[in-house]
Amino acid sequence: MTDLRTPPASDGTPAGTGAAAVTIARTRGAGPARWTWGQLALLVVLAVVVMFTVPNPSLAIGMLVYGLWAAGLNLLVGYGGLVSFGHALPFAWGGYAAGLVLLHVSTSAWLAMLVAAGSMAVLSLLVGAVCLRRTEVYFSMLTLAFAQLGFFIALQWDSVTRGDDGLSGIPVPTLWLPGVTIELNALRDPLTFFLFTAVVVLVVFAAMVLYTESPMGRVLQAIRENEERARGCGYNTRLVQLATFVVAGTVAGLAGGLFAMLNNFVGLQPYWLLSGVVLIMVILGGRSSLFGPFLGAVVYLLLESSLSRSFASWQLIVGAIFVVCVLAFPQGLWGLVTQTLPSLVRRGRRTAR
Amino acid sequence: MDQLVSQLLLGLVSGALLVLLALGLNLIFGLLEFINFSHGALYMLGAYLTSYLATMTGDLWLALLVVPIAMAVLGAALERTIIRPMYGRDQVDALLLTFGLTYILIEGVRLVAGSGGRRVPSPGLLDFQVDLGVGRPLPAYLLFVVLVVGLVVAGLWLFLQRTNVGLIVRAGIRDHVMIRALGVRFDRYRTLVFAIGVAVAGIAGVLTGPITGVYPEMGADILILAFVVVVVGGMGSFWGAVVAGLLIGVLVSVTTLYASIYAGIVPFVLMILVMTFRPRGLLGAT
Amino acid sequence: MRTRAGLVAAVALLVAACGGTVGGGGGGGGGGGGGSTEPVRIGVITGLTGAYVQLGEEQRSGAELAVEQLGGRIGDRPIELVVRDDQLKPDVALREAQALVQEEQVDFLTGCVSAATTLAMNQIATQAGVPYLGACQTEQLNRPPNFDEELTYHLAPVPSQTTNAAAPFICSELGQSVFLLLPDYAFGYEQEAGYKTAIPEQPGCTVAGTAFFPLGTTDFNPYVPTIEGSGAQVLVFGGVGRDQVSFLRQAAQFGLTDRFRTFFTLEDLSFDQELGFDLIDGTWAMAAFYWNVDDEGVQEYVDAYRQAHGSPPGGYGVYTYNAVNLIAQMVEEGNDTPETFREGMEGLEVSLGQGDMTIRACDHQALIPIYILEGLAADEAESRGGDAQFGYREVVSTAPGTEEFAPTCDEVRTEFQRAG
Repeated sequence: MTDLRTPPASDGTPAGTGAAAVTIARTRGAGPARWTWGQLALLVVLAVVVMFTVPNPSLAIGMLVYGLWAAGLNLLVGYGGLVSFGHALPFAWGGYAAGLVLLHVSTSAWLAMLVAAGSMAVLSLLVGAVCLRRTEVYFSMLTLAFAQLGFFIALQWDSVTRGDDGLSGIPVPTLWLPGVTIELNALRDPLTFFLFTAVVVLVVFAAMVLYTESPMGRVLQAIRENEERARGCGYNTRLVQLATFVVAGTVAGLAGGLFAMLNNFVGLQPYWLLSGVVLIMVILGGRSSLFGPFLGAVVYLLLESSLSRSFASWQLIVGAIFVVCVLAFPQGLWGLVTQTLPSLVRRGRRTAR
Repeated sequence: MDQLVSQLLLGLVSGALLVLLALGLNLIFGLLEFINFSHGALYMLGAYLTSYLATMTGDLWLALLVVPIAMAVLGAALERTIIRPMYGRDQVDALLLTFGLTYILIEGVRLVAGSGGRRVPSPGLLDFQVDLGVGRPLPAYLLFVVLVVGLVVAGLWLFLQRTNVGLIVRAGIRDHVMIRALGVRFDRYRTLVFAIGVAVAGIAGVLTGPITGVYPEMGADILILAFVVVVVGGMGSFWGAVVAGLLIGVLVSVTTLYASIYAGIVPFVLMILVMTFRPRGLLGAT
Repeated sequence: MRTRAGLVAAVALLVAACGGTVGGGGGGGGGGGGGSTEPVRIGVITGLTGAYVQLGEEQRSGAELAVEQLGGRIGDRPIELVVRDDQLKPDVALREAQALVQEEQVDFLTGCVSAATTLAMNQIATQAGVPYLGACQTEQLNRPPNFDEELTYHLAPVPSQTTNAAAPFICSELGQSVFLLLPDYAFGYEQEAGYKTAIPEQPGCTVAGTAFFPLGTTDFNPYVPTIEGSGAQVLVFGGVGRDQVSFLRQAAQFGLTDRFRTFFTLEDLSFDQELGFDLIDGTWAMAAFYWNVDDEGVQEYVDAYRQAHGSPPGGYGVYTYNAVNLIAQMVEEGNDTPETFREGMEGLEVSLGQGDMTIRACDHQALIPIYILEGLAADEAESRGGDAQFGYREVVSTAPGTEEFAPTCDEVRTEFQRAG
């Protein structure tokens, strides 16, 4: 049983100086995923719950999109130990890419998603190559710098992006399937849009689970635990991290594309704020799985939409929850359910006996 | 030519305030090994304290004395309560914790003082222009800001170089395991350094008030710039932060003269360039 | 096969049972038939958190005040006001607008503090077939691709309306050579286009230089040498809110406001309170509303607002106040479907909280008076401004709400273009 509290450091020797302690500390923050494929089933359950309980269709679909985005970010944060402060960049890029395709090229949903994800994959490769020259804090700062750069370009290049007014009037996308053509109009027919999004999200989520279980994903986690050792084993650690950066970027690009299709609109807002929100979702939900961040996104959006109606300073509560999460439950909501509660129950039983 | 000189001087003034924030961040990073994301919010808090004190007394002088002390106490309290449990955990956790703290501080200030900004009276004593002989005359208050920043930088440097406490802090930055093995009660030094860093941010808050006024989000934008300064100068490098702060101030200022729309992005481009070609920063140790 | 059909049926049943969720959503909006006692639902979406929270709060108050004055009813029909926060973010505005048309089934939408949120709301409104009454300054709402002649209305002025109104005053009263310091986003570009057209049309008047400052600039000192080097007599500042405070403070420290006549494109009382008499004194500004304007409609609104809140209103609440009053008038006259609402609104001449106003038929743009305001010192406030506490400004010139100052109906048929 792992101890949840940090050992007292009154002797001036905080835990985590030795290698073993570090591993324990990290395990608590981002332990190995237990529920590998069960996550997919959980996601289906969550999607169904969202579908039948969230009264606002746009919010419900938004939860799926944000959830996908957050789960993708956790490939970097939880599995790779790389905290990106600029994950709004691929999301926004995907949005603009999909929006521009729908506006100027074709109303095909497939093409819009393909371009959003594909172009972001290429861009991620370039950005990642620079950002991953250093890890840890330097990586975070570099991703932030690129996000700011992206914000600047989107703001300035207003003949294409329409600046801070945003890309409006994006036509309703059409989904060509063998034999049928479906209009993806989130306002008129939210159910179709929700089901379509759910299918896309599930497929991508499954692909991400596969990635974390692949040899590549294993090496990624090994690098997080000890980069030197992983390199010593003959792995090209930078390449593995770069591949993950590209995967996370592509997923975020796709999520951004879906978001543009949902809203028929792409807006501009300071990216570091948006990057912060998605990071909060990840931490809130828990870094140790892919499902955790998804849950975090759903809970965050629920909090936002309900609290903000009654309490103008709702972000105070969000901040407090966040601090408590980091202090007391570094494994987040999902970790609380899968790790802390069972261990508490076990401890309770033991004392009862 | 004259215009360019003025532009350079004004850039140095802007850079001076960045230096203060970056030094605090850097010192904390050096010894405590995490990025204090709440640094900007603490700076904002210092500015709000200044606003209230200065409105009450009608001048800035008392605030210049009281605010750094109050902020140091607050910093020490924060370190002892919520930051201490972060030691030994992933570096990222402390970063995230202070990120959450930022939300609390900003929203808390909004709740107490309202979302609108507040004014800080400029010191009447310094309400005149000084002709330096080159460029245009500058407001005395801006020169006063540079003077105070210079004094703080010099004071910090002397503290680190000439005192026993400073010696231990410097040694701790190099290798805290060794320092601890030597029997030093390292905890106290961490508290001290965090308190100093926060106090320096408080001084920056005091000085900024009369220039821009105060408002809840004031720390957010400048914090990111301060990060950039730290990274460009080299993490943990004292003079790196000073040089990079002034450099970025001057670059932004000169860009404003020739292509004002690019002024906001210059620091980030500089950072990407530095990280690409000299990843350890301008004066950072290898 | 049968099981699958059964499954589909079960899902369909479940979906049907949960009306209002994703499954149960639907077209929404549109309004009920005339003469019923169905409530009239009005949705207000504005920035209740974020940097311009005072403006958002005021839009909420403005709408609430109008409902209160109407006794909560229009004829037999009660008014239901639904207010939501967009956090100044377009994506949140979209989400809330969708919620209002789908869940709350609102008949009308209004509110906004920033241009991006107004365009987002307009998009949802036009998709859902609900009339939207825009309430913040932008050049985009009454032009393609955003303008929908069936559903879009714009109650706040377009920036070119204000710059056209300002140019004669600036050139004849303040000086013939003008420097523009503008924010580096849409509102700044729209002002640039407006001023660069309107100022050269004044005899002998020129734009001596233009500089843009990035979003979130607090350090305006680096702009001082450029402004001084331009040799201009007048300095026009296009930023709002905190930008004004930071800029004016630094300009005063450099003695810039003594040597340049300083003119602000957008005044609001909430900004003035942050600026204070000492900074405002000796500057000029422009607004589409000021609380001490001598007009019956304005004063009725100001009195009611003061009674409710203890202080006079700024310039943003009046848009939603007018919006609710316009909707009430239309519904009263039986124009409660989008089609009849449009017929009633086009060419309408009324006098509401901003004084005389015309809704132009071609682009549904409200033509309203624009006021040029002179900033006062504290000791002048009572004698010239009418109030020792809030008399920051005196109206020195009024441009009437006529076609003369608005972009022509031909101009608004094309997309907005940046200057030069």
